[in-house]
Amino acid sequence: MKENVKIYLRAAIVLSSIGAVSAGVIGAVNLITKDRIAQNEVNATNKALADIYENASFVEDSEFEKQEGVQMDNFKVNLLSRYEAKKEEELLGFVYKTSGKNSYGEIVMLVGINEQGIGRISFVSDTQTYGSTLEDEYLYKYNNNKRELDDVSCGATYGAKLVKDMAKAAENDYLSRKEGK
Amino acid sequence: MKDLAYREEARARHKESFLAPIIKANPLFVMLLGTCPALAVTKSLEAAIGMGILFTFVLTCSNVLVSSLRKIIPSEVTTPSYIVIIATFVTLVKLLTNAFMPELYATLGVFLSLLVVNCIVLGRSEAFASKNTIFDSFLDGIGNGIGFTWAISLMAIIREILGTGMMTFGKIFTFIPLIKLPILKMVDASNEIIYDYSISLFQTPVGAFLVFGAILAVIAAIGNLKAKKAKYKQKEGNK
Amino acid sequence: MSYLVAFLLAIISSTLIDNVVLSRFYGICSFIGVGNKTKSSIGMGLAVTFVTVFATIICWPIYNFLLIPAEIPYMDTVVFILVIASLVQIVGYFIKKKSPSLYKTLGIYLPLITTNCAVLGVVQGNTDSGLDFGMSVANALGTSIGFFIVIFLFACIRERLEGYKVPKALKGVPIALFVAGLMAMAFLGLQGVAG
Repeated sequence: MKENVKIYLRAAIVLSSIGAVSAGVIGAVNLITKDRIAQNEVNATNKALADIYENASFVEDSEFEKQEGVQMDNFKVNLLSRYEAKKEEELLGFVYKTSGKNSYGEIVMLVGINEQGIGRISFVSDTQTYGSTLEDEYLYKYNNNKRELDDVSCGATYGAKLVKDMAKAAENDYLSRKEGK
Repeated sequence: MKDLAYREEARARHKESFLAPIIKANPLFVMLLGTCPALAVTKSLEAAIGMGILFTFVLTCSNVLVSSLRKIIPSEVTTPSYIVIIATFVTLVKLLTNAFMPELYATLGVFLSLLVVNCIVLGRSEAFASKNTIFDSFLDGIGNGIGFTWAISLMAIIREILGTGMMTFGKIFTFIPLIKLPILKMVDASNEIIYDYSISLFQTPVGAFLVFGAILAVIAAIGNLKAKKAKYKQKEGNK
Repeated sequence: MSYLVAFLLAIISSTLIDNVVLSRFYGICSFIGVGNKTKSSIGMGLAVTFVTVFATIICWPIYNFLLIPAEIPYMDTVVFILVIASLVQIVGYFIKKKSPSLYKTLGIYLPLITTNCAVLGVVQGNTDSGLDFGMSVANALGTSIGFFIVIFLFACIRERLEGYKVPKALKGVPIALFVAGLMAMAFLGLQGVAG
């Protein structure tokens, strides 16, 4: 009986000390990498911005208020922020940062909008199923063939609906602001 | 004299633990372990190499740690201890990859976390590192890592060429310039297709199964041929 | 779209359209290993369903109400795998006590489940994608049912294959992988259903 207790005690001590050490190590590495990961997210947004309007400068609209849960045709989407894109003092258009979820995951993307309507679209992050054709096929076709969003088809129909909803939410906001002004 | 023989033996053992998993006991092609990441991340060569390097790192580290703790961990709690050790290294790898190579992190996604339940990593801890010296376990980790990496790289090369028609470099490893080597597909400067013989099916999961099956069949065929030759030789010898 | 419809749709889509074995390769190890006998494939399928759903029900609150408030979401993988490993132990113990006959069918597969990617993959995927509780459970249920269906069909096909003459080099695993590839092709056709 006494032997048993000893064995269990030893097992418990070893296991919990391994756990404690591993938690400590992970915590320490997290401290080192935390800032870089946050910086990477900013970089990803900047890269996506540059993808929408090349060589433009972007100013975040500080008056823009975050809108959450905007009900669209199929999904509820969020409008996170808005940027003004300028090239040598000339206003090229606006870029909306939007996010939305479907049952496969979450998409954060940027939509360029100007007088001509919805422009280029670029993903900041996409946690849709691995191997989803959304970015490679859908966005590529849309951005390169300059078609209407509704005309582009791809295998990932469920994700494409989400992208459409997000882009349209941004367009609606843009139009209502234009009328307001 | 005895010392010399012992040293010889140790050297042979080191060599065996390093070389065996590369070809003879390849974890993927011979042991059929770790098939889940092998099928999932072989859409492009870069992703496969990235996965291979991270896999080698996790396996070697966990092997060394398990081996150095093999006399301390009581036999009742071996599996939970190993799982915690492996999960720790996987989390470290996740954090570091996310910080320093975000493109690779985004490409591998959940399959990085799934290294925790990779049969090879846990299997080597239980079957090898828990019974062998630290140095042997280290060599075993590196050997298995190399064996796994070249195996998935081979699959990735086949799938990338057949599926996309090109070899793309620099998309995930952003520190090298973006190069697209046209092989089965050729595009001119304005992205107009000149010729395209690629079969996009090989980029889908279907292609993963077919390529893996075909490679295993080739390996089996080579094995059969060798066995036949050996038999023939034996017959000749008997005459 | 009401929540119930979304819930059911999520189950169907992760069962058929986005089948885990054939599109994300979860649990492919046990798929190849166990999937040559119909009887054992049923046992494995049931055990995976059981553990995946329970692991999701336990891990989702832990992640959202414990790890996030404590600002240590990066500890997720370690916590999840510990929960799954202990869950497998507890479930095994419980089934052994309550229903020895069920234990006979499930028992030997339970230890294999800890290292089945499907369980950790679903739990981790749910939290990575930020799904809510209902959707996570729907995803877990759909995924594991999908695993069950595919591993069962696969076992049926392989049992039949045994009687046929197969080229020598293709015997065993290679032909099984080709079968899996053809099944994946068939399931690709279901992608249009989501429409």
